[in-house]
Amino acid sequence: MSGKTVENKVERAANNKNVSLPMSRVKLIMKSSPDVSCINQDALFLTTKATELFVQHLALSSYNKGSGKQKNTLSYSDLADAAEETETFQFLTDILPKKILARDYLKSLEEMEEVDDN
Amino acid sequence: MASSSGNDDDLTIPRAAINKMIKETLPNVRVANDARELVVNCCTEFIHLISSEANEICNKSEKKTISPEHVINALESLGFGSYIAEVKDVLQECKTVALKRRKASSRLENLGIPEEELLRQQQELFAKVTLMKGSLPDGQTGKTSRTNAASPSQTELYSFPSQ
Repeated sequence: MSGKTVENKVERAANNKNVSLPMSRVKLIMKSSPDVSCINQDALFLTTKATELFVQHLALSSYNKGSGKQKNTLSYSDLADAAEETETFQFLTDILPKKILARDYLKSLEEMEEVDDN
Repeated sequence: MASSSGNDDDLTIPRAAINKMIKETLPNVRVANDARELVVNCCTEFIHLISSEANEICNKSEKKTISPEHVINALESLGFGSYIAEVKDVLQECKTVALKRRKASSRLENLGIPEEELLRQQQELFAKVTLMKGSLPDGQTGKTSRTNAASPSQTELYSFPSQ
């Protein structure tokens, strides 16, 4: 009983001060990964905090590297560029495909066909 | 909504929380809506990445529960070693705060400041109810069962919302 109370206190302290993301939601997401069973409360906290740092890191480096900086904006393509160019963000390329204009895509298709013909 | 793999990916971090963080990180920067949406999904992806890696490490260590060590090692091996120092610090801070509160609470008891008075009164009330329960004609226990369950172990009484 007292162990649980200490746990709750850690979670409450976390919620009050140092963590902006909801730990309960993070836990749900973790558990939806295959095979993940039990997670220690502190481990959950570390993951939540790391996710926060990740958001900050992603936003900052996408902005700093990206072309939106002059216009003071952060766009989809800034993020996609960061995913491609930064090694640690490469795991995102699956969900962050670079958007290309339809005509560019069609053009590249044509070019591929030409190569095949030759 | 874009779903990358499987059915469980409808779970995401609340958009509002992400928006707030982006705003704090990049104040005065306009962020496109589709970019925000992406960050939300990236979070989910990140969490999956870390949990899978930590889970693997956990399995190798033949433990059943993912521990903080496993998470830290996962961060390191995935290239997020730069996060480790800060997350560890924050965890330590939280624990220290939690521990201080517990110590402070038990110290308060001995010093006899207002909170202790509240606790004492609460104890008295519980005692009264128990007495009342004893004097009920049918010896009904229905209503008081909850009171008994709530009946004070020291730590239970310390969970004041204002704390």
